[in-house]
Amino acid sequence: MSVYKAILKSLKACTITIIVYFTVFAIFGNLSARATTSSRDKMFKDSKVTVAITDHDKSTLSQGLVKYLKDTQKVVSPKTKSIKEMNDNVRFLIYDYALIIPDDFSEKALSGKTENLLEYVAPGQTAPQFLLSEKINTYIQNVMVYLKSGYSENEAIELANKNMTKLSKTTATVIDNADKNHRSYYTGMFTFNGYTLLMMICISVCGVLSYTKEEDVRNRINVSGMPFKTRNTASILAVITIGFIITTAVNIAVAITGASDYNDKLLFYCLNSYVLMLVGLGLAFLISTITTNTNIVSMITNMLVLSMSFFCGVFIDLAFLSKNIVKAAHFMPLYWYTAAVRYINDTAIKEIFSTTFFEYLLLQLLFATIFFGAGLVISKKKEQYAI
Amino acid sequence: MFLQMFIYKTKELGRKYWLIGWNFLFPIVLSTAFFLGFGNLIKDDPDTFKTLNVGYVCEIQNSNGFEQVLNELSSDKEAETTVLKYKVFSSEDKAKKAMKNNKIDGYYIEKENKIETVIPSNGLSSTIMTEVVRSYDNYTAVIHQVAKDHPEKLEDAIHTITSKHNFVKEHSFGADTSHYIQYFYALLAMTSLFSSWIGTSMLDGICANLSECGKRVECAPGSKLLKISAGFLSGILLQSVSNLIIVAYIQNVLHINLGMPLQSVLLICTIGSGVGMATGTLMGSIIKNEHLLVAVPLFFSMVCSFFSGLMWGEIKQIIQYNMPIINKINPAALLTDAMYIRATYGATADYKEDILIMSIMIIICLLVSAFFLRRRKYVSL
Repeated sequence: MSVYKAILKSLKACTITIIVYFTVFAIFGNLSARATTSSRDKMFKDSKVTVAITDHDKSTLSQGLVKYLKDTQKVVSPKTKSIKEMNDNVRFLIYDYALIIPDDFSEKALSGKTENLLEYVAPGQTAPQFLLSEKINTYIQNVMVYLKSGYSENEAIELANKNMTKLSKTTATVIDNADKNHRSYYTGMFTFNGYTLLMMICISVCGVLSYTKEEDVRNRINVSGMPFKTRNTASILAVITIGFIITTAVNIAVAITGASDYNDKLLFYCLNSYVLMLVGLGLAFLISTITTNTNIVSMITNMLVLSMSFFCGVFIDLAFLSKNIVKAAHFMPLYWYTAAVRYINDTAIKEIFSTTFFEYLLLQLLFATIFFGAGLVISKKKEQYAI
Repeated sequence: MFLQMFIYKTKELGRKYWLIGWNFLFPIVLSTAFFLGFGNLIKDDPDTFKTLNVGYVCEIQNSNGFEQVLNELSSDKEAETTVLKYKVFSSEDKAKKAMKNNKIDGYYIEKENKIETVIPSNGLSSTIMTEVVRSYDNYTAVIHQVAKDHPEKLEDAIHTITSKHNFVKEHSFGADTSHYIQYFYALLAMTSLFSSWIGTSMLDGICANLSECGKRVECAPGSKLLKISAGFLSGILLQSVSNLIIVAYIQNVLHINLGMPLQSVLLICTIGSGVGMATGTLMGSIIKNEHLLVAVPLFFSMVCSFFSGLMWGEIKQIIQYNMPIINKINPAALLTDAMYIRATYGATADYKEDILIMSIMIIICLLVSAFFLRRRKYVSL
């Protein structure tokens, strides 16, 4: 019991690191999960483009266009008069499109000089840019047709606005009957958890194991009267307890922050995260056999876990990665963790307990065993050659 | 004397393997991870508008003209990107099956009085598909309106509506910097700021209260200013080599174009490294705790990098509109801003302002450090 207690007490040295990663998980995990959560669509909803309009003309025609855009899109303030700053804003996604109406817009349009009447800033040829440019083109074309057909300026604007607004109510039929295309809040949180949980477990467990390997501490442990078996069992139990406490805290945090999105799949996500905990413990044991220097431990852990997170779909959706990288990711434990998370998300709750799900868990366990085994081999070799 | 101090300090810092690992190896691993993650996105932006694959089912004897519209849209050679490609299906079931298997993005059913659009879920593709139907209905409505009120102008109206116009034009800045390249700028900024560790480590070997080596150095009769200057310059040298390796790796191995000449990247990174070294020296002169000397520079680099967009690209611009002062005092934000401006607009006044602020930061940090480090007295060593 004394070894068990001592190891748990030595965890205090890693408290700040654990708090930092836990905060990262709670804030960024939440932000990323909320941003990517989607549910099944029951009815058609128009995608609106966020557009910032700068109207230098202030004519009836320009105001008609602004009114039409306000009725159908999300119009926001450009926040600046500088076109360069507008370019920065569209590139950093403050808005999708910046429309600039020049002061001679109305004059040119009414005199029939219709080419390049308006100017816009967009981050390349994107779908929102295409959609909004098309809408603006259609609107102005309508006005021009009415003007050339003998309607007055006010009549042309009114007819164009009425027609376009009426047509914006045209809808589509949505056939959306699978969870596959949607991500739940839990999926977002538990996917991000792949990074933070591994980091927290590796850093804390490596810290604890490094402490017990310090020459002075190791010598004092070796001369104690406690049997080797009892000492090692207590060490293993203490390390598992640390992993269990961290994982449980993470799961409770997800359950609390996602209370409004609760569904029964939470238990499966938790089960998957406890299996990942074993992978983390194995990896931490392996790293601690390589080095006991906390700086190097932190560096190796960051390199391994960050890289795995990029390749295995934690930070970037697998759809955006090249096929070869996804193939290579099959040889990393985090890939099977995220595969299990995706499987839970896409599968009906009654069908989750299946061979596929257990395969994903077993593959993670296999990696945990490999890491642990490799750690034992390195440890033994180090002892053998007194490194 | 100075040269000797410089050489010894460079040797001393070069032997700290964890420092080399963090400053040389970690950025290379991270840039590789970024490349594997974002490399595809930089070369082929997922936000770029792509041709939609749609299905078409005609439930009436002959199309009322909608199929002709689809045909025109799919064979438009003038457009930069063809709006859509359509495939005719003999029944709705077949179209539905194709949509379910992700072979088409949605399908149209032309009925007697209307065109029905069927989509798998909401999104921009679905809205664009619906927009095609709206445009078709719109022109029909406009022609009917003109025919009703001014039948004599009908021919003119049809001519205007069928002729192609470009009422809007894009304002181009010449360089089209990808949104995702921002992450590489933030990475270089983080790498430059990692030199704050070198700054604290440099002091570790100079201050008597921090190490055995520091005791010996403080006992020696050499000028303290020379010792610190030599340490500072050797730190900048190491970090500049690290920056050179990383920039060369990104540009020549990963083949990611940073959008500016190599000398500009190196100039910005070297000044950034100077800021990192100066802040590290300042931290080293204030902090006495051995653990904090590692934790504080790491925390400083990561927080600055986060607010410059390392993990969330939009954060810098959001701060710009809410607390712009943060972007002016955050060295990582100044670094990424300088790189972004240089790549997008060239060496403008804003770019020079960023460089100037960073240079002022170096001077202020060194002056404050000098204030803390000067005239330290020890009863015994």
